[in-house]
Amino acid sequence: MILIFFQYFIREFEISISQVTDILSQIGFFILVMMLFPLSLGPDPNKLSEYGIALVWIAAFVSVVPAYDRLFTDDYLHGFIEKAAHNDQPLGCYAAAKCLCFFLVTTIPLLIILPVICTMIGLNLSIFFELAISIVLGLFGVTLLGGIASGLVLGARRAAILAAVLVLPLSLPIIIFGCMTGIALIETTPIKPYIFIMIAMDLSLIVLAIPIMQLSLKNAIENN
Amino acid sequence: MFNYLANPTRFRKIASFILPFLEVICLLSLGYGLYLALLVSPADYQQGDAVRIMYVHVPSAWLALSSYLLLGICSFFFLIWRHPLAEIAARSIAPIGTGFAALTLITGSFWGKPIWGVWWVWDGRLTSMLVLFFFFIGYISLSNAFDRSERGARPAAILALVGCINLPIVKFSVDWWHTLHQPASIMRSGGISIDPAMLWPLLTLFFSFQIFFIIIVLTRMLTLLNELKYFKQISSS
Repeated sequence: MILIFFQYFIREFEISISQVTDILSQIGFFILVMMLFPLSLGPDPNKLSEYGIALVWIAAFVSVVPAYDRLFTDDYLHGFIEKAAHNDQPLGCYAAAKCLCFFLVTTIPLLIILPVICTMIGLNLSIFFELAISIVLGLFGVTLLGGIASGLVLGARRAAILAAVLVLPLSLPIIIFGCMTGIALIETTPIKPYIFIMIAMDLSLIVLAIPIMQLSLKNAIENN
Repeated sequence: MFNYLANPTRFRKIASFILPFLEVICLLSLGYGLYLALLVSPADYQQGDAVRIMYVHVPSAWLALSSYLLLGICSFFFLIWRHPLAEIAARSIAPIGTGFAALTLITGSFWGKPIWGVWWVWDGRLTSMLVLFFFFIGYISLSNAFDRSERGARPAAILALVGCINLPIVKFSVDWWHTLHQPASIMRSGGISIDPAMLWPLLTLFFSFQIFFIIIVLTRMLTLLNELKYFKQISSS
C-alpha cells in the first residue's frame, strides 16, 4: 500500500514539476490578489498591518481554490483513474498521493514568497514562523476538502465555479481558526489552542476525506 | 413498514390518497395558528408587536434545519441501498429547505432591524444559517450539473452527507458564541422558558408549517415520479 502510494506520489510530482508555469502563475495570482488590498483599502500602513494576517489568509486561500476543479480532471479524461481501478489498485492511495503532491507544489512556493509579501504589507517578520505554520496547516485541510469537491464535480458542466462553491462553505472552520491564530499572534495571546484545533481538523480530515474521494472517484468512472 | 412504503407504485397510491386530508389539516391549522399569533397572543413587553415575527421565523428555522437532516438521511439511504425513491425524496426536499432557510434569514433580518437596530450582524447563528443555505445551493447545483440528470444523484448525496457537519454548528452556535442572537428557548436543558400564551401559537404554526412541508414534498415527489415514468415511456417507444 505504502509502496503504491509512493509510486503515485513520484508520478504526480514529476508531472507537476514539468508544468512549472502552472506553479508560477499560481504564485503570480497570489501576489496579484495581495496587490488588490492596498488598492482597495488604501495604502495606509497601519490599517494594512492591522488586517494583514486576514488578508494573507484570504489571498492564499483564493489562489488555490481555482485549481481544484482540475485536480483529478486530466487523469479522469485520459483514462488513468479508470486504468488504476481496472488493475484493482486502491483509488484512495491515488487520491491521497495526488492531494499531498498538490499541497506541496502549491504551498512551498507560497511559503518562499510569503516573507516578501509580509514585508510589503507591513507585517512584523518576527511572527512569520507562526503565520507560516498556520497557513501550512490550513492549506493542508483545504487541499483535502478541494480533493473531495474535485472528485464530486468530475464530468460536470462548469466544474470550476461549482468546485469553488462546494469548497468555500466546507472550509470556513479552517479559515476561522486560521485567522484566529493570526489575531492571537498580533495580540500576543497564546496561539497553541488554535494550532492544536487546526491539527485536529487536519487529522480528522485525512481520515474522512480519503474514503469520500475514493467513493466519488469510483462513482465517476462507473457512471460516465 | 419502510420496505412496504418504498415501492414507488404503492407510494404513489398512498400519497395521492392522503394529500387532500393533509391540505385540509394544513389550511385549518394555519388559519387557527395565524389567528392565535396575530390577534390573541400578547405583544411582548419589550419588543412590542415585532415579536410576532417569531411565529414565522422560528418554525421556518426549525424546518430548514430538519429538512437538511432529512436530506442527509435520504442521501444515506440512497447511497447504501441505492433506493430510487430516497433519491427522489432528497431531490424534492432540497429546494423546499432552501426556501425555508431563505425565509429564516429574511424574516430574521426584518426582526433584527427594529430590535437590534441592524439588518444583519456577523453572529455565529446567522453566519452558520447562511452557510446552511449555501450547502442547499451547492446540493441543488451539483445534482443538476450533469448532462444526464441521474448522474448527479450520487455526488450530490455524498455532498449532502458531508454537509451534515454544519447542522450541530447551527444548533449549538448560540451556546458556543455568546453574541447577539438569543439562546434556544424551547428545546433546551432546564425546561421551556417561554410563556404558554406565546408557546401555543408557535407550536400550532410549527405544526401547520410541517404539514405544509410534507404536502409540498409529497407533491414534488409525485411529479418527479411521473416525470421519470414519462421519460421511460418516451425512451422505450
